[in-house]
Amino acid sequence: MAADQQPSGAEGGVAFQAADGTGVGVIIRERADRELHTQDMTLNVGPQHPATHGVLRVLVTLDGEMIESAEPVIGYMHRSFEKLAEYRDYRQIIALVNRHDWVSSICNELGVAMVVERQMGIEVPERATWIRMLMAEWTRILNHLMFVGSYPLELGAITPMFYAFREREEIQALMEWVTGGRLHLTYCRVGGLKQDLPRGAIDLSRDLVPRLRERIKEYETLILGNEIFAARTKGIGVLPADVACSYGSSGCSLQAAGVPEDARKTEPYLFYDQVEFDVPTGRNGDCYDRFTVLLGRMKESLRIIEQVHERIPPGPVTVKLPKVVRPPAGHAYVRTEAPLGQLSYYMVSHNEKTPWRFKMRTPSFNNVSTFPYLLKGTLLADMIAVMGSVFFIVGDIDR
Amino acid sequence: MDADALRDHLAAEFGDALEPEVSFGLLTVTVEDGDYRRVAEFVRNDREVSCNFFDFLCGVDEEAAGIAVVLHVYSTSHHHHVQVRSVVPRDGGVLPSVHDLWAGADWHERETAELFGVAFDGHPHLAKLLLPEEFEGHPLRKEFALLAREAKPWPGAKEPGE
Amino acid sequence: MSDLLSNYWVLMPVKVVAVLLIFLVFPLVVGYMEHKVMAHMQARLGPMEAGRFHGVLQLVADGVKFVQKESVVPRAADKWVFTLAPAVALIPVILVFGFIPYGPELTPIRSDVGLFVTLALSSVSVIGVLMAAWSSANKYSLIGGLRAAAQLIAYELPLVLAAAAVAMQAGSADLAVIVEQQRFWGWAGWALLPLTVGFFVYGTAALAELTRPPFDMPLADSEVVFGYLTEYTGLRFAFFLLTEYAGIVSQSAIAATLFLGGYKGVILPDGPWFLAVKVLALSFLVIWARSTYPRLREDQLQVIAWVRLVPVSLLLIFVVGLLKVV
Repeated sequence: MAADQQPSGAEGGVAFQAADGTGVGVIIRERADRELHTQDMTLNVGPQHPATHGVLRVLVTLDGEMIESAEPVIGYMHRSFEKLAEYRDYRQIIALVNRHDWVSSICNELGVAMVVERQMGIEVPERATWIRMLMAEWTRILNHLMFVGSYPLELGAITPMFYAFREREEIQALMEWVTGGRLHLTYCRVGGLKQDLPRGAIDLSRDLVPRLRERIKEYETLILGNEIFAARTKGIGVLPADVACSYGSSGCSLQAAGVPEDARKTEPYLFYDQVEFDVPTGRNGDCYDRFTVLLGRMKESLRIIEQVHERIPPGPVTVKLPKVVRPPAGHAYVRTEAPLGQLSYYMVSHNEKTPWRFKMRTPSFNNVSTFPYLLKGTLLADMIAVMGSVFFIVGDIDR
Repeated sequence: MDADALRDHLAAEFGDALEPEVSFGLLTVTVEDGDYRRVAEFVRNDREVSCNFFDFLCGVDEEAAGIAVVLHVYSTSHHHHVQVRSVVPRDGGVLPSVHDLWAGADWHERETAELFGVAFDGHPHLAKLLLPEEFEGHPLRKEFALLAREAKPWPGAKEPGE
Repeated sequence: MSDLLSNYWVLMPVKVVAVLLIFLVFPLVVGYMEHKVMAHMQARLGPMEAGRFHGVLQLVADGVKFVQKESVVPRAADKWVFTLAPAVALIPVILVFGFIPYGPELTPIRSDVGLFVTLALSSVSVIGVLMAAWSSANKYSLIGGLRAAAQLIAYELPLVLAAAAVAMQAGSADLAVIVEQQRFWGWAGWALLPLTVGFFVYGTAALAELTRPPFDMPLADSEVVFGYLTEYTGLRFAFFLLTEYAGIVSQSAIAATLFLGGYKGVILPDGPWFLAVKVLALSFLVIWARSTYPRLREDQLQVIAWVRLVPVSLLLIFVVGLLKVV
């Protein structure tokens, strides 16, 4: 059929109408900058995929091996903790909140206990605060070891995983002895702790510290010193400081960008202002820096643990709470530094037995929202390096 | 700046438009939805306030009064927090989006939209984030019952809410 | 007896059986070695159950497992290509075992162009890989296959050039002649230095040809599930696995023959036992590389091939030629 061509307003398209009046179509002219007519491929990474930690799906549009756009699709693990929290006694929320970042349960619980204590004006005994700090720092090391193992694994180095988990087992033994659990510890309580440290726990903790120090040095040699690891991670996935702040990205991502923002330093809670430690920062904000910051944070945690060992006073570990916990009406906010980043809780209370609103601002939610920025323009092979370097846990994203 | 100084600074700029409240060292300013955007821009751009770090944006169901949207931001240079709060009507509540001021607001606004039913004007892609596409209703509203409890009453001790 | 053996029709089946036995035994030994060596490097024990003593029968158990698995061909896959791919990958590797000199006068197939044939045969496996990738009807396999194609073709060059340098030094492409010219540790005299470089070039190229870490982008399991092998299960997968281990053994054997003196040894008379030791040592190095290094990215891999290895191997040929003339 004869075509009657007229230029139209469509982008680069030419409208035509067949002479017999049927069919109006638009011919999209091939883009001048492409000689070959290629088609973008949409690749679904996940939700079941060996690289994504848990059920995270990333919808990636590829042009050959280059990523044009990447959109994370989350919500596969949404368990509606915030709604559930509105139906729970304030003390029961601790058991819910364990399940965000399931690798570091104490750090999650800490914030909840603190926000309720703040609202109610409860003074936590000193011993309990120091022990909370000790357990929180060991938990931080547990979490970071997890990523020391899994990040090189994604890049193809299979050995650090085994070493990291060997270390984790040793620390888990301590956790199990103190709290009775390995994964969801539910050790913090509103007003203190569940129970006191068993006799000898501090000695075990003391023994672990130099061993961990040695091993962290080994990781630096094995992983950071590996030329291929450096080649795969340097200059990849750069997140500049202002972009990171704008996204609310925190933890290793923010510190690697050069911003020494750590809730333990800028707004000290517990007794973090009474111990000495530094906040390691990177310079370029690339994947290599994030991993370096991860190892640095572990070393600083060990420093804190050593200092805490000397400071734990004798005394009670909990206060007697009334039978019914009813914080006065109002709202309270607590910001803690979880291993993955900034974890804050915002609680609104209407003087009832259950909270009116319990907002859980988890670090991985904001960290993963940077994916579209990070992944645009990277190669498919780098996608894994970038995704793995934004250390996240899916339960933390979806709550 | 500490919370009181911040409150005075913001009051000097906006006067009656905002109702400040300092609670446990945190400043919360409640504004009309018409002023929300202006205040957010000021909090972001003003030199003394300069809140560049996006913490969260969430909704709080205030029953008859409406749905309160709380925007919480922080300044990495001045180390202070500000909460900007605005109450919108339950049906058809709309607030301007702040995703161009803080990129992190993108996902938080999507989450608030699906969980509370608040629309954000100017947001590029207000699709469901955490919930499946077919989901109907706004779960975090108080009238949305917790399905588990409706389907089968809790067999154990009395629920805290009872 | 030697009358009997000199009869072609008796000798041929004996050779075939011998080569098949070597092909069946050695890769399994290397496979077991990989389990154990990697395990001990990773602070664990490896197989301990199968076969009572430290899991020696683990691979036999694996073989039995693979044989009894369901044979799955994806509905959208190209059935014939999918089925033939493992065979196309495996058979050339078996044939390579026929050309390697196992001892003085113990080369199953003696040929003037033995080296050339061996290298050509190892290239045929590449076609098997590509067949597997394209016929799988799976995006991940496709990506893995494209990566494999680029990688394997790129590393053919340094492989062949390094081998050509050796052929030049020896003055022949007959593998038995090449071995005869060496001492028990390899080449002597002026040739030692350049050919040591050649050994490293050949070794790297061979690792890449085998898609072993750090060159295992095509199989990168954290990115493309399992690359071109994603859709393969059961016996077909076992054949691919066998190809990989047989490839390690055959490439180690060729490398030992070209650069390390093959079956030549010291104190004991020359024979296959020295070749076996050298092959196991080289396999150990291959396994060690696997447990240490992360993967190289595809473009870094290509850079190493084209920008580093090819010029070095060209230089190598030049130097060896010069030394030969001088």
